[in-house]
Amino acid sequence: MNKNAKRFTREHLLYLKKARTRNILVHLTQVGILVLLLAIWELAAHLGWIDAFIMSCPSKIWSTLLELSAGGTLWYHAGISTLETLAGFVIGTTMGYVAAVILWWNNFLKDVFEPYVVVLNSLPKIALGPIIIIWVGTGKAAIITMAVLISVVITTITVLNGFMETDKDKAVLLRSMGANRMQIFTKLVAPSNVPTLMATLKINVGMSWIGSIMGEYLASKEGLGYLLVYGSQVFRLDVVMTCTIVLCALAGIMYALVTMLEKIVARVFHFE
Amino acid sequence: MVILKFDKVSKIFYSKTQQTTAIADLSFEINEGEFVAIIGPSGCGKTTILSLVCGLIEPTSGVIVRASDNETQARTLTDGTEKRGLWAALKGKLSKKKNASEKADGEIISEGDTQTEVKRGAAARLGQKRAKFNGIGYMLQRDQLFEWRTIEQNVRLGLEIQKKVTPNNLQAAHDLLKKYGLWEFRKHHPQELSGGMRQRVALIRTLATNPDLLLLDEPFSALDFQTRLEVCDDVYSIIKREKKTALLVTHDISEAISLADKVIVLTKRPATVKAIHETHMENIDTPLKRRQSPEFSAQFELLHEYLHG
Repeated sequence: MNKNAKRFTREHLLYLKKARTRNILVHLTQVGILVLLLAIWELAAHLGWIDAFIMSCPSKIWSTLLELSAGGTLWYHAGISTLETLAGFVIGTTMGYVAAVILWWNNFLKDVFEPYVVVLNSLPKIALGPIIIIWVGTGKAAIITMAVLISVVITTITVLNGFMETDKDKAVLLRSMGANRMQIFTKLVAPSNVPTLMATLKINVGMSWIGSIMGEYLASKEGLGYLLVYGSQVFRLDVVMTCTIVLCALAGIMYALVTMLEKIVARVFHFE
Repeated sequence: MVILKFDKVSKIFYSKTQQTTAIADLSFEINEGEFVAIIGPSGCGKTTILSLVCGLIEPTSGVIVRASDNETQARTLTDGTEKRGLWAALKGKLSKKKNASEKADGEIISEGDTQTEVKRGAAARLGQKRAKFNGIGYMLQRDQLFEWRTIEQNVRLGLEIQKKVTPNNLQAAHDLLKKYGLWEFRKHHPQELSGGMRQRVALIRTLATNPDLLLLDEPFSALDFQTRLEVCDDVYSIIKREKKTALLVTHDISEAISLADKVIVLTKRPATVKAIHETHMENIDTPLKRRQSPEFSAQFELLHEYLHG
């Protein structure tokens, strides 16, 4: 931007300045709202408007955060949850993508499996919890299974939709060149659906977090979900709040990473 | 020599509620070096004809002969007919004991497999005169450039598909890019180019595999009128300079007259040939000049009469 600054007209520079000012204002307001909310919360707790024992308050959350992280407990549990989520994310996305490729490849299979996919998609996966525990046990495997189950079906549906909506004329062009199904996939369907894949990754960040935390609620001795349940059972609301905030931060970071990947990929593939 | 021949070709489509005869007893020929246009009322089955020429669908009856070597022929046949062909060969071997003379020249004509075998036989005959058939280059309504590929990568798409990425072929493709003013844009992506340039890239992509027949499906319809005239001149001169045979399918009478040597007028569905019109304007070297020539409007009237009369 600065490199070309000389070439801009005065009006253009003015426009750019305006845009920049607006951008800064948006960020400031965002931070401002957060600070204001925290301040009111803190104040309300101190003045006794709300019960700090039930509602907790920012200063207590902060001290809990320090206390829990000093012992390493918090990071241990956060690390476990992150690993489970990542595993569920990778396995779920991969399996869902492969399933979509198979269903795209074979129309017969697609028609056969359509009702199954629809039913699996509508089924609340948490209902499978007891079955998972009996079949897989109560350890990390069960939690990863849950995260996979929640992300895999939606991946298949989203990716398959993308595949089916690939430009028909481009496929005709390739077929007129003599392309086989494999070539149509590698030269057209896969690259043109990179944005679909990126969108799916974004959805799956949320899905796999839901899966891992829900799994930890059901059965586990470690992880943020466990810590949350534990905190609520012993009525330590500051622990519950702290865990929630750490969870927010982790999910946010993971989403930001996927967004970064999306931008890089968009640049490489020249998608606008 | 004949590049493409339709002999009494019919195509019927079936759906749950009805059957539709898209084309019926359609016969025509395209000779090497000719520029042929097919025009017809909208919905007359032009797309069906294009798909048939490309071998994307098989005719319900009749024979399509492409000047083809065996390799390409095998590719354009669907799996089903390929198996039938094998089966026929097998049957032919069995019947060889009874009637050895029938197997001469590899032409087995047995009941039920007649269509395939006639097609093969005829193709083989044409193939004798012409050593190598490189198939069909299909240019669609929109340029259909892949936005994730650079211009250069777009142009080599056909070569990649046909596994013909050799230094020679690449050089030929690069020469085309240089010749038609696109070399400096080779590292660019399609969205950075103007509509006319994109269409030129699409044509070069089509030419890169060195096809014997170019198939143009209203290739200018997505462009505004001014650009269309320019691109039309452009495409025409490239096709003529590269000495290509071309089949243009359009509903635009003026485009057909300004480009083609021969205009085939189709009836409405089921499509069959209503008239074949020779434009006799070989001496006029660009489509734009043809549009301005005195014969143009008379021919336009005539074709309009054929189409709507």
